[in-house]
Amino acid sequence: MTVLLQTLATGVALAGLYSIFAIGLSLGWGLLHTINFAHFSFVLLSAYVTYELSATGGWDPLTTIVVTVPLGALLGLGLQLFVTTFKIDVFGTLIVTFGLFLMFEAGMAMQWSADLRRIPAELNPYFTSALVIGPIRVSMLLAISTVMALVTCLGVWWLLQHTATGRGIRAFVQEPEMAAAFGVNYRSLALVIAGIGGATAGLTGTVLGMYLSLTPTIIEVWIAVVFAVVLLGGLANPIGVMGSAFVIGMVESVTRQFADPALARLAALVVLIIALVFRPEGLFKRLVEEARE
Amino acid sequence: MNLRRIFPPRVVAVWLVIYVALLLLPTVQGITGFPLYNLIFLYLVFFWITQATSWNILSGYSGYFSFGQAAFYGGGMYTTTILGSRYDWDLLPTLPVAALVGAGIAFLTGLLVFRLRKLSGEIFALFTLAVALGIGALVQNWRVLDGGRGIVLGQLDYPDLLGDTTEMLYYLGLTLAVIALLAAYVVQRSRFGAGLFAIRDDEKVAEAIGVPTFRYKMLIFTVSGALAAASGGLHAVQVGFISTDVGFGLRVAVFVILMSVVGGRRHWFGPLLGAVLIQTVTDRMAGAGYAEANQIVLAAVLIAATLFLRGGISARLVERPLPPVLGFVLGFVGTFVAGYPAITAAAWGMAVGLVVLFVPDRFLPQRRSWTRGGSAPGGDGDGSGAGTDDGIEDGHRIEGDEVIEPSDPASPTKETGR
Repeated sequence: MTVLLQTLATGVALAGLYSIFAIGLSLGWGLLHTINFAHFSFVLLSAYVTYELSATGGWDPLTTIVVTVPLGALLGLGLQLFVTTFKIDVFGTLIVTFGLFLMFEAGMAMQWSADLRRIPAELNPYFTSALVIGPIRVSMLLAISTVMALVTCLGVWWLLQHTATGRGIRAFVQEPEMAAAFGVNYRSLALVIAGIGGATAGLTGTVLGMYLSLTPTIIEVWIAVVFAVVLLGGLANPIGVMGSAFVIGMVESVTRQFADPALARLAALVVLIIALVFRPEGLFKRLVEEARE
Repeated sequence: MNLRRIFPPRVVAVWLVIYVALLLLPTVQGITGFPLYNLIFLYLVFFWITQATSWNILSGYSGYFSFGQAAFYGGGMYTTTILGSRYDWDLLPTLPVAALVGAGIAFLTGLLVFRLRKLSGEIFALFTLAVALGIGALVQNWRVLDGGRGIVLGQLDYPDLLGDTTEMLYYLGLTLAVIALLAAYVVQRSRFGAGLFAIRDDEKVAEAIGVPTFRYKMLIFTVSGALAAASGGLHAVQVGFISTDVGFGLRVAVFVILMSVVGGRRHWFGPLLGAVLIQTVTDRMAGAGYAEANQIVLAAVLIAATLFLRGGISARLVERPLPPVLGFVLGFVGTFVAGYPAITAAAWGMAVGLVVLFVPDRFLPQRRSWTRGGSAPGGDGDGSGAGTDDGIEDGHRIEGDEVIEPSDPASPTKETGR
């Protein structure tokens, strides 16, 4: 029983991490037609900033979000401006942001070298302490990130469903000409969404900066699983992202607990492949169905 | 389909001369003793030509952009390594087996993805990435294959005829590159190629006019996988220590995409141009210790090429072949005579050639005087069809009355489709 509960708790904690990672990517793809490979770079850059501020600047790692979140938002805005300026189509954004990803990777390798960088344990209480509820132990960090993920995803959901911004952007994605005729200013709304997506990258970066030993290529491991969450979650659907993150987190957690831990990532990929074969539209509906001509 | 149409004698003659010259090069090296490194460098060029071409016949021709090159390359690499190091096979028989493995992986992947009607280009890209990473994770964790520690590949036996290891790699690499280019060339000039181009332009229309899309996509994917895997198998010898990082990392996908996008995805020799160019730049910069700077430059080139150079270099070169080629020759000869190594000279030659290539038309004499036999159809940089030098220009004229030009608005494909 304890083992089962523990597995569930680990799955939920992983789901939190995955959903906060994937939500920005999902928003950009579903609402802005930008498949942002550079999201991973934004996350890693923020992680390095968190590392730098707390390892050399002595900040409490969690407080670095006051730097990383605006940084991520700025990066997101910058990318969105770039994409609209050059009118890049969905496919183009995948290649262009892939190029950005490579640039960031090389830049970070120059700045921080290929050595492992980790915030010293004594400066990083969130990583070493654990949240203990009865017989279950969850890393404090993962508990915090799960709460962050819940707040972020629900916040985004509320924004999209219940505010003028959300209604405008959904209308535009569904029917661009009609929405424009009703006075929806896509460019500025898109900037809002891009900024939010970037901000979540900053948040994710801070969490990962506390969680991982950083190298310039460490983020490559996350690409597949995060894209799996995005694709299964239904584009721009925050609830779907949480749901699919939960499915994948649980699959990993169960594999880790009852089979070989090394196979956990593989299991997640197998889930993605199976899901794409049988339900190419994802496990959850995308938030906004695009009008088909 | 008549052979003289697909292989115009003048085109064949030009390329045969180049091929024979390359075949003789190791012998020349033995006599004159120019640096052996040049042969190693050329092997790497051949390797990348094969990889990029194998990627391009799928992704460039049919428009299904794959991020999963590593699945085939790494699959082939591990096939040769395991057969060679654990079962003591000779090198040569491992390569067809590697090709079979690659073809098998591609076939199964294709069976999965091409059955899905709703699968869009982006999903295909990410799906292939997931397959490559998935196979990588499997190899990494499964003892029977690797188990995460990597495998050292010792010396493999091969016929003595092929000389020492460097020469052997050179000859076999050249052979594979020729096979890949030949395949790309033939496909482009055949009905099959026209069908693939139609799929890229609009798959629904292609289907409506009777292109067997599923069969075509499966076939080209399988061929592409086989070529990439055979070349990966040979490359295992060059690498020597095989790990999942080498076999299934992002690097191969990055480079083949970069080379093909820069060189031009709509023409069989686009990847060739891209591979030569990018391997030369990488070799000079990484060799001088600027690996990171090189990556940044290449990524910038990728972005710029995606944004501003839709047809790649080949499209532009087709329009005005002579000035850039002259620029290259001048730059090369100039630096070579000044005493720089051949590869550095080639890099400078390419730099000059590229600058000349992108001089706006109005600074040059009338375009017509630079091309023979009229300008390329659809000539504003979409890179369909025509070749670069005189011989190929000739080939294009002949091709013109048979093969459909998909990007040309007035093409028969589109007209029938509407």
